[in-house]
Amino acid sequence: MSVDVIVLEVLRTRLARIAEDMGLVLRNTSFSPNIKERLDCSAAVFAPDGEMLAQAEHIPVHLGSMPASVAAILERFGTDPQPGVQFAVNDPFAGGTHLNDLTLVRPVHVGSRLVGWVGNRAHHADVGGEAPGSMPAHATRVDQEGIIISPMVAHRDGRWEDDFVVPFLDATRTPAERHGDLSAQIGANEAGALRMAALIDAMGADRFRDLTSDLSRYGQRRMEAAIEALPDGSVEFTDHMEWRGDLIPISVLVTIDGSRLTADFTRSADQISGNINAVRAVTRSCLSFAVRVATDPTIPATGGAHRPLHLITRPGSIVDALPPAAVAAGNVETSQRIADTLLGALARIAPDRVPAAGQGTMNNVLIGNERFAYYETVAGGQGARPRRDGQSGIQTGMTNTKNTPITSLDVHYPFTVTRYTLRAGSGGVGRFRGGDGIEREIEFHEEATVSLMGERRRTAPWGVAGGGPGAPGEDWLVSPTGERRRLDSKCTVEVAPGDRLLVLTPGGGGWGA
Amino acid sequence: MYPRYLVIIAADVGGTFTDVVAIDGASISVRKVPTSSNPAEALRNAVAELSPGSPVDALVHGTTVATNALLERAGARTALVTDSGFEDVVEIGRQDRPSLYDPYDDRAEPLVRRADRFGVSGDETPDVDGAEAVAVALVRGHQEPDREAMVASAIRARHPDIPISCSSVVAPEFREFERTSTTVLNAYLTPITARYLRRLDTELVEGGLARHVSVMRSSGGLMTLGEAARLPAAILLSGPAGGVVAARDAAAALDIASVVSFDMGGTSTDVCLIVGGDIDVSFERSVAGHACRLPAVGVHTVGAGGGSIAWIDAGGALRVGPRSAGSHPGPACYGRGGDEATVTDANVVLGRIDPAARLGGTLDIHAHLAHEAVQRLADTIGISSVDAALGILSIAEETMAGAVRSVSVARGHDPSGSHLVAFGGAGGLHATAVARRLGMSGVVVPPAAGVLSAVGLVLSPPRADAVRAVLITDDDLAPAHIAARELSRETRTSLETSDADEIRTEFLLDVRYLGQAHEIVVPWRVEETIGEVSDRFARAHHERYGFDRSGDPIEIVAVRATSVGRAPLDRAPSQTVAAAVDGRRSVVGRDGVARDTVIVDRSALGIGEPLHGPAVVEERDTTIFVDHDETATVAASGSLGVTW
Repeated sequence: MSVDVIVLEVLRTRLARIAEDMGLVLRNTSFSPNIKERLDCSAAVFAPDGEMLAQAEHIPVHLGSMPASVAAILERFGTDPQPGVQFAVNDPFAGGTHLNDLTLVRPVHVGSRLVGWVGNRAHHADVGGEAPGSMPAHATRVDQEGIIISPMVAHRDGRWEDDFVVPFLDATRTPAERHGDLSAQIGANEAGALRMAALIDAMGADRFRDLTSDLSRYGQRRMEAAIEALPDGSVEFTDHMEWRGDLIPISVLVTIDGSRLTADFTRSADQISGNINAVRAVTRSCLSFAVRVATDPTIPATGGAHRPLHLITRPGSIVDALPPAAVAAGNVETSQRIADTLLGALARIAPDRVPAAGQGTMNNVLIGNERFAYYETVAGGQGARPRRDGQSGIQTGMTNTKNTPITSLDVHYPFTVTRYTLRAGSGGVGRFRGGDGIEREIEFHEEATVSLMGERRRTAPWGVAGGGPGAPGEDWLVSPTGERRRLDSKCTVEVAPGDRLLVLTPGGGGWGA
Repeated sequence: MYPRYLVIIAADVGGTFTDVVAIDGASISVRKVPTSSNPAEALRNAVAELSPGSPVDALVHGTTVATNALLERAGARTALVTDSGFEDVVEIGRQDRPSLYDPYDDRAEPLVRRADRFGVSGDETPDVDGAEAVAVALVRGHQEPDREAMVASAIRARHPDIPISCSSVVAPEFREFERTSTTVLNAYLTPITARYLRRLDTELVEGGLARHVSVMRSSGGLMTLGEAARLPAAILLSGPAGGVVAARDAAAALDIASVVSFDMGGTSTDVCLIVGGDIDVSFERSVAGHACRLPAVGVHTVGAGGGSIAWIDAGGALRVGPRSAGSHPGPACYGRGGDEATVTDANVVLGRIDPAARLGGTLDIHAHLAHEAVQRLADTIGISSVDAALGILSIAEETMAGAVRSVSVARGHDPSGSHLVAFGGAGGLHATAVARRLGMSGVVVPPAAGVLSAVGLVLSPPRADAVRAVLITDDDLAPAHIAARELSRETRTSLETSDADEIRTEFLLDVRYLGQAHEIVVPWRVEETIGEVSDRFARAHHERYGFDRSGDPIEIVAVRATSVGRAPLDRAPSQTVAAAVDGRRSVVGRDGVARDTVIVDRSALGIGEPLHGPAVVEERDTTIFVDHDETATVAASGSLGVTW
């Protein structure tokens, strides 16, 4: 080692700052509550070969899946992109995760030399498809879920490319909002590219290249050190997704061997004719997430940190879906279960650190008609920790999106939130209690289509070390006359003025008997 | 003849010292008194000592009483009254968690226990027995001030002595969680703050030591004791606000339009953007994890200070902070048992801090302990002790530069070309290195830099801030005009001054594009039309984010008013505080070269005479390092300017 450890730390800090500032521009300028209020977005900077150098992620499911977008663009367009051009992709089978998540990527040049990439991803509330919000519960093919953008040029010479922007805005139910969010995404990349070019210009492109490979090895060392602290051995764990009447198993065999961790999902179920299929990039994000939770949360988000993690999946399975599978819920629901499955195994390997299961769902609620599209996720209980109760009414697992203020919904949407409180007693019992879920009730003032995408309605978040399970969630539609109808965890229903939707989210598992 | 003014700043959060600064005309004297369990008494003694015989005309107090009560969770048992079905909004918050990957990084525990949350649906009066303070925050309280007032008066009828805070009074904005949180914070802090301020009033005013006492508010202005006792959530940043005001004053005296204030202390560094003489004021921040929607200087804090600890992480990288040695045990060189190398130890190794100095007049530096701690770290990495010390500084300086860049970029301002105004115990040691990383043009170190936050207090005008939620989506600004009239009346009456001509009232609007979720606060003159508001908003949007959508409809969601009176002093004293040191020693520059360096007492520097680096300029409680290729010059205002 040498004085370079100092230069390296300075560079690491600066790259992380560029990514964070891009995220700041994105969320402060975006139009949809989804990005600004809920922070369903991420930004990152990459080396010329597409290896991630730093990421400002606001939700974990974007961690580790962003590099796939840059890789897809490199594969399609090669290493000699036109300076200043911006590419777009949302194709889950070519660099994306689910269609709502649109990623924009821009090359960074110093002179005519490609020195890196910047990119950002934002969840667009509606990208077309067969239901408002683009997550139709009945979908069996990805093309039912909205417009598919395979890697293509979106913006060139300061202007939108018609081939991208026209069909995209045609497809969505909310073109004005989409256009605003797209502008914010372009602006964030421009800001990031400017900063990154200035940084590299100042230090010299060759020196930067050498240092970034040091940075990559540094990330690798951090991850290796974290894994080495775990005892060697193998643990298998199985959890389930709920699909109509069936339970779909997700199984993982986690093996720790020195500084290497292998997660083998081969025995998980086949992909299904429904929308809960996850693409491999999602599973990869879950692995990065779970290992950080179970070991060292501060490991930097660089490509090198992924290297000691070996992910084995079977193409055509529910954790590595192939086209033309529908995947909308794979990103938002199956991801939660993949993370639970990994954490379930890791809880046996690192019992003093890993909590009981959190609510294990995002409780996606999509409301809309031809006039508006609204999307929210509802928090629930955190699993109890060794030595501490779980927190109540908080996002867990692969999401961390905020709620939209009730008083903001009042003025923008034809519905009212009539109840928003903790669901007392829903946390699992134990020496330490799981956190409680949430009760959220919405009253509609207009006819609308509601899609629910939830989980943990029949299975329960598990406890650890003898702790009890959290209460499963429930969804109810209540008519103006008080008639209550239990809804399926994944459904699309039509609602009328005066109807109320009541969502009860799961509690977290308990810890200790 | 100058009136006689005395300024006081209370104990720092570490709770070690209280800075008491007396300003008498152009001269300044300083006392550092140990903070006692009864701060009012400590203040009384310091005042009596600094101004024996006659009472001071004005005493301005920067206090951490509310901040400490919050940090120590020593506030009142608070009840919350809200709409039935929404009792837990205060706990759920925005439903997000502080850390994505750390399941142990919990959000702040709510200040109201579940059993003390009451939901009302009709006109029933909740039974708040046992509560010491009450917050009334209905979900739509910003639109229902009368209903909140009714709930409050029903409770008051039954419990006349319990203070009640209503959201429609404390923070009448639309977002229910932030409004509720601010109201709860206020209620929680009211009893303890009111008690303290009452004691202060008794000791100082009734005791005949001061004619008038005011308190610094977070937004950079003064409020009366009575006002502060009613609105303690508005003084949570009382301490940092003074320094920012003094930094603005120092920049104005030199005719520098845009600066970033740079206050580096033992555990952290506070930076704040000041453009065109306007301090960046933020309307949304959190204190100790609790959302507070009251205006506050837009100070950004990073965990890099003199006590920040250097360490090697699992990947072999050298890291600095955020862990700090604080004041106990403190840096290794304090000799109190700390054995980890800190930023201060690195400065000792490089000779920039006097190895024979007495910090705060009471503490010896044990230079050999600093050398040993840095050497241990250097051996682990396999580099020289000097390289390790330089590395520690460069990493800490990168973190601080990042903070300066953040506050600038977040406002669409390029820091290059502007100046850094450095103060606090360690600001002058690192300011030029930070400024040069960012391509800034120079550094300004105001007189009395070690106690500048106290000096800023007397430069602050009496100030009142107020806000009203509105919703304007068309061309009709009538609701804004109505709100402006009410807010003007409200803020002007709350300023305790006889001369109405001295009061200046300014208005701001919270504006966003229709459908956007984030507002930009823009200035507004009441005669301006919606078109002019749109244009100004578009310019602000472009400035901040690099683009705008001119022609798109906007919406206005709040009107704000600020009334300010006249500050106790028009300008800061130009006198510096003698350090009584001089000599020469070997000091290492940022290029790693050790040079024989002159040590100068700041008070001995003449106006306009350039001092070429390398040099170390000492003032009481602060040190300024001028590197070999830098030049320092004292301006007529007493500020030391450093350029390169």
